[in-house]
This record gives sequence, structure tokens and C-alpha cells, in this order.
Amino acid sequence: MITISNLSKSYKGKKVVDNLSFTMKEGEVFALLGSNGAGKSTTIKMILDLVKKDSGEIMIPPNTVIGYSPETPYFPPFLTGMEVLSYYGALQKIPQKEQRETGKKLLTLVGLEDDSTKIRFYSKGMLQRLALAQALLGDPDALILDEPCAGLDAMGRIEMLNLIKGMKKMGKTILMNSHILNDMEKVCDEGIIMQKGKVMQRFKKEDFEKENSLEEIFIKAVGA
Amino acid sequence: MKAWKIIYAAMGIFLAAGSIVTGKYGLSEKNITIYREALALDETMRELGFENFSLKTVKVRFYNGNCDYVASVDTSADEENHIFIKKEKAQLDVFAGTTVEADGQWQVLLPTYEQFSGLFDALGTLDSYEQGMQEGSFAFSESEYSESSHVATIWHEAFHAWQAENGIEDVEELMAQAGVDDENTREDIIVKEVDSDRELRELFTEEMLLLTEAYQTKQPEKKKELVVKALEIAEKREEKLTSEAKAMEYFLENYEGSARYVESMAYRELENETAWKTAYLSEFEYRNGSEKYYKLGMMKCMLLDQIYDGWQEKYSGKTGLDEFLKDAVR
Amino acid sequence: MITIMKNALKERIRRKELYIVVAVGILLILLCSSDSTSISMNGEPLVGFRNMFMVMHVLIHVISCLLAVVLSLRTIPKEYERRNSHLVWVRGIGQAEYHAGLAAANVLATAFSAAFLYMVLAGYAVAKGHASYVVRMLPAYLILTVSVSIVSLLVSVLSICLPSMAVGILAVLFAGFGVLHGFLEIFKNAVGGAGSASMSFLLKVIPDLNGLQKQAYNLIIGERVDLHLVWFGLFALWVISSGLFIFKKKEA
Repeated sequence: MITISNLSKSYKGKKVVDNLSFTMKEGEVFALLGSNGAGKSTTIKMILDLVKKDSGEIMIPPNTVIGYSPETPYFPPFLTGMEVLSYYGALQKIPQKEQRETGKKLLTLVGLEDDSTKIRFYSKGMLQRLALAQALLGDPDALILDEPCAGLDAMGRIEMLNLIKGMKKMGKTILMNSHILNDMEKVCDEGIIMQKGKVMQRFKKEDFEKENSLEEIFIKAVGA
Repeated sequence: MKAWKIIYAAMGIFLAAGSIVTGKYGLSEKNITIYREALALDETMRELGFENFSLKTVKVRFYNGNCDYVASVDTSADEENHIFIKKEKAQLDVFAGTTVEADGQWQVLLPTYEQFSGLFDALGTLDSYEQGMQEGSFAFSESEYSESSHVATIWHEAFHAWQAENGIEDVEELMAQAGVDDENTREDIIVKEVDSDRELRELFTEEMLLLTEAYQTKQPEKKKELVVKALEIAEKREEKLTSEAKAMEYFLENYEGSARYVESMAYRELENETAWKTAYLSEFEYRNGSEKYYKLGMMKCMLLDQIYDGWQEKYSGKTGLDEFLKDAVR
Repeated sequence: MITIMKNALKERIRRKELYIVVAVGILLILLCSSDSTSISMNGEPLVGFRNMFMVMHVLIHVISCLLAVVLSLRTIPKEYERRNSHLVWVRGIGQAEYHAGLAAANVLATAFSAAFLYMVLAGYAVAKGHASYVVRMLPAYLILTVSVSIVSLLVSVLSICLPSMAVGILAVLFAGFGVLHGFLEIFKNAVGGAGSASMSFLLKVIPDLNGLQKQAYNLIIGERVDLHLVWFGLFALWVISSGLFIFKKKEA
């Protein structure tokens, strides 16, 4: 569905993404793995056009709606969860009448039923859920999730992963980036392991289902 | 999106056009009115008696900070009151009233009314601010420079132009002889040699108060008596002065003091007696610098109006105002 | 753009930033309206209504210009520091629209602050028996708003690409030149040479903010208003707003 071809990006002469290529298939969960500074977030930002690429191609089918959940979501602390969704819904030109209804549905979906609590009282986990909720506004075809489980406790992670599985069942194409390899094992279909901007290893679900764990594949790729 | 761009661009064009249309170009109506008011006093000011003294023969340059607008009047029989305004390159970049030699004649040069009243605002505010800071309070100054003040300033400078055209070089020669022909040192001489001497300050104040009393008294004998006393004080002061200071005082009193007198007469025609007295006859307060000589000279001229008919016809750079006063009380 | 603006305003109101304006306004009125004030004009204590009103009008303008800088300085940079911009950019909102919405919020917040201070001034006029001033204060407020909006919009535009410290300094200089326009027109000639030429240029391009304040005051007291200054102020607003289209961030 989304194809990345020979993507490169440098900052002050240092290559942070180096000739990267991969394809995300429709309805699959694609994992971007790597150590800190591997170029994962930069890759995501280039796909979303938040950062200009130096070279390469990013092919996204026309009219594809992409939802994005950032790693450290910031929402105005004096708004409520519902108001945040209404705000982003309005930006996406969702009619005002639908905003409340859509917002309620999404908040319920992510487990934030109390829509009158102000953001400043949200826990880290609640913020992550809200981030996912706003990413789902407009019923996107694809989701890009940057560290969706970051800062969540065990229960939070389980719930988040279940949500992601639910999204996958709905047919959404998901690009995920995470440090928690155990979690990635549970949801991803394929992915790449990056190091210093380059692809060190490509893997599919089958590779770690049968024999090695994803952790072992990772260590081998990064260690090499 | 394109529609927004078109609307935005159209708004810019509309606002630019509005700015251009409402802009003021050339000399403002206010300054032209002031010039007309000054011209209207010509007959009255000629009656003062200075030979051939007329504003109609002098061009007035209004400086707006960028250029000069030269105002003149057509003195031919059938176009007597037609005013010409011509834009010219600025003669001097100064915000002060003065005279300049241009096109073979002496011309009046002064800022536009708006600039000059703004300058008075600024100087007055600074003065009040300093005073206020010393007293520990906030201080402000409201502008006291009126249109009549500007008309009077035109006449003041017009008189200087007349002086320049009619042999005031005698005074300039005197200044050169005394070694005070450098304009930058003139104020310094007064401050260093006169203002720093306590006795001279006291004598000056005494002379000024005597002259003021003489002007105000209605009794002719007492008036003369006071003038004589004032002249004695003046002589006593002169004995203590260096030749530079003497030349400087002579210059300021006779050259500037007489111009201040003309200025005050113009102002008196435009404003009521009370306003004129407030502006020109306020209680004397000794201050350092040359300003006090303007008042001294003006006071002597006004006294001469009371006791020496026709002194203006004899006025020249050679004969000082004190000489006229001596003749008057002899 | 309206959505972004409304959201930014909502946040500002809830953050109670504008309550600081309330405090400033109350302080101002207490300072100036006391009969034992130590403000003097021409050497005499300033207790007359007209003089006091004029002084307060000038002060309100100066304070509003400073508030414009304070309220507008960090709005756009904070959006990018918090990565709030990411969630806006990904939704296909162009930078011009995004920045315009935030800048509009800045301008409205500044205008509201000025409105509050103006209401305090109106209250003072009514208290001193000059209720007739209040009617004219409404259009006068609109003229004053042009002046403070210029400062707010300039700060917003500059904050897109310059660091906050630089924007703050430039904004204060700009506001200073604008508020002291009349004084500087006179004293530029005293400077001479390149200094005078630079000052002349700056005075030509920087709108006469104090002139706008004077026109607002003239309108209140029933004197003639110089429309050119108002038109030029509006044109200056338009020119500054074009910066929203010209200056862009390279990355979210």
C-alpha cells in the first residue's frame, strides 16, 4: 500500500536515513525497529511530510487518509478529551454535528469514557490512548504509531496492543515503531530492523514464530 | 483557496490606495494659513517704523525634515495676495528658526508648524521630566506652542533677514574683532564669563527689574529715573566684562533682543493682552545662557516705544539700544 | 484557520493569562485616579479630568503595546516545541493557515486586553461625569486596536523563524520607535550622517503608533482625526500579515 524507495535524509552532513526501502501491505502491521538514533522517527516524519526528504520516493495511493499518533503527545492541558477530538475533528473538516458523536465513540473505543476530564489530569497511559483516538478521527486507511506503548504499564500495554489488533482486523494498514520487542512480536506481520539509517534486517512473522524470537533476530542484526 | 488569494491581494491594493489618497503632500494647509496670517500683519509691522521692513520682500522656507517648501507672495499690483509655494532641496537640516542666504537674498528658514510644536512638546517634556524626577513624581508637559507663536517666529526671523540685508554686518564685524565669530563658542562665553560670576548675575537681574518697573510705571519722571538707574547698572556690568563677553552681550541684546521685540509685537496683534503678557512679560527669572538677553533687548525696545518716538528709523547695527535710551533720558 | 484561532483563544482564556491584564488595569486606575497622585503637568499637580484622561490614554496604549509583545511572543514557538504542529500538519493544514490562526488568536487576545483597559478608562470617564466620552470611545478603541494589532502581528510573524529573544528585542525596538515616532522625527536630524539616514528609513517603514493613539484620543475629545494614519496603519497590518505566507518552517 505504502512504498518507500531509496529514502535518504541527512542532518548537518550526517546521514540519518540512508537509502531506505520497504513496502507496507494493506491490512498489515509493519514494524520499524532499531536502537535510539537508528532513524525510525525521521522515517515516519518523512512519510508524514513533517520533514522534507533529501532523496527517494514515498508512494502513497491518492486519497489515502493517514492517522498519526506521536511518541510524546501534547494536548492543551486546559481542554478536555472531547474538546481535543472536536478540535482535530474540525481541522479534518468533520461536520460539527458528527464531532461529538464520533468523539464519544472513539473515546469509548480507547477506554476514556469520562470525556469531561481536563488533559492536565491525564496519566501517561490516558494521553497515549487519546493520541490513538485522535489518530482514528476520520476513519483513516492507514495508521502510523510512534511508540504507542511508551510509558504504559503492563495492563496499559496489553490494552493498547488489543486496540491495535482491533484496528488491524478493521483492515487498517499500520506502521508501528517500538522498543518493546515482546509487544511487537504479538502484533506485527513484518518489519525491518534499522541501524544508523540503514536496513540491517528484514523479517516476517514467520521468522520469529517458528524458531528465533524477535529479540534474537534483533540482537543478531544490530550486533552485526 | 484561489478566491482567498484574490481577496487578500485586492485588500492590499485597496489599503495601499487609501493610504495614498489620504496622504498629505506638499506644505500643509496649516502652514499656509500661518504664512497668510503672518502676511496679514505686514501693514501693522511696517508701522513699527523700521525702514523698508516687510515680510512680502522675504521668502519663507518651511522645513519638514526632508525638504524646504518656499513660500513667497506676488507683490505685483493685480496679484498682490497670490501665494507661491515651491518645493526645494533643504538648505539646512536643522529644526530651528534662522535665516539663510539663498538665491542672492536672505530668507527665513523654520520648521513646519507640526515639527516645531512637536519639538516644543519634546523639549518641554524632557524639561518637566527632569524636574519631576528630582521631585520624585511623574511629570509631563503639554504643548504651549500655538499657531500665533509660529507666526511670531516668522516675524522674528524676517527681522533678522532685514537686519542682514540692511547692514547688520557692522555687528558681525564687531564680533569678529572681539574674536567671537565662531557661532559654537558664543553660548559658552556667556555661560563661562557672565553666568559664573555672582556679581554680574545680580547686576543683570537688577538691571532687568529696573527696566521692567520702568516699562510698567505710568509716571514719566519715575520712568526716566528708573531708566537712568538701569543704564548705570549696565555700565557697571560692562566694566567687569571681557571684550568677548561685551561683544557677545551687545550682539545678543541688539540683534536678538530687537528681533524678539518684533516677534512680540506680531504676537500681540494676534492674541489678547493677557496671553501676550503671559508669553513675553512673565516674571524674570535668571537663567544661564543667551535667552535672557533676548528679553533684555526686547524690554529696551518696548521702553523706547514709550520714551523715544521714531527710534526704529535710526536703528542700525552701529547704535546700540543703550545709546537710544541715553538719548531718550537726556 | 478559525478553528485554530478559537482553540488558541480558548486555551489562553482558561490559562487565565488575561487575568494579569485585569490586575494591570486595576493598578493603572488606582495609580492615576487618586487625588493625591504625584503626577504633574507643566509643574502643577495633574488632577484635572482632561489632562488625566489624556495621560491615561497614552499609558494604556504603551501598556497594550507591551502586552502585545508578551502575549504574542511564545504562541507559535510553543506549538513547535510541544510538537503540537505535528498533529496539525498531518491533517493537511498549510503552514500559512496554521500560523495565521495562531497569529489571529494573538491579535484578538491583545485586542481584548486593550479593550479591558479601555473599559477601565471609560469607567473613569463616567465616574468623573464625562459619560459622553464613552460613546466615542467605541470607534476610538478600533483605531487604538490597529496600533496594538500591528505590534502583535509583527511579533507573531517574526516568531515563525527567529528565536524568541531576538523577536522580543526587535519587537520592543519596533514598538519603541512606533510609540516615540514624533520625538524621533525631530531628533533624527540631531544625529546626522548614517545615523540620521537609518533613522529616517526606519521612521518611514515603522508606522506611527503614537500617531494612531493620538487619533483615537482626538476622536474621543471631538477633534479632527487624521484618516491617513489609520489607513496607513491598516496597510501596515496587511503588509506584516503577508509574512505569514512568506516565512515558513522547514520542518514541523
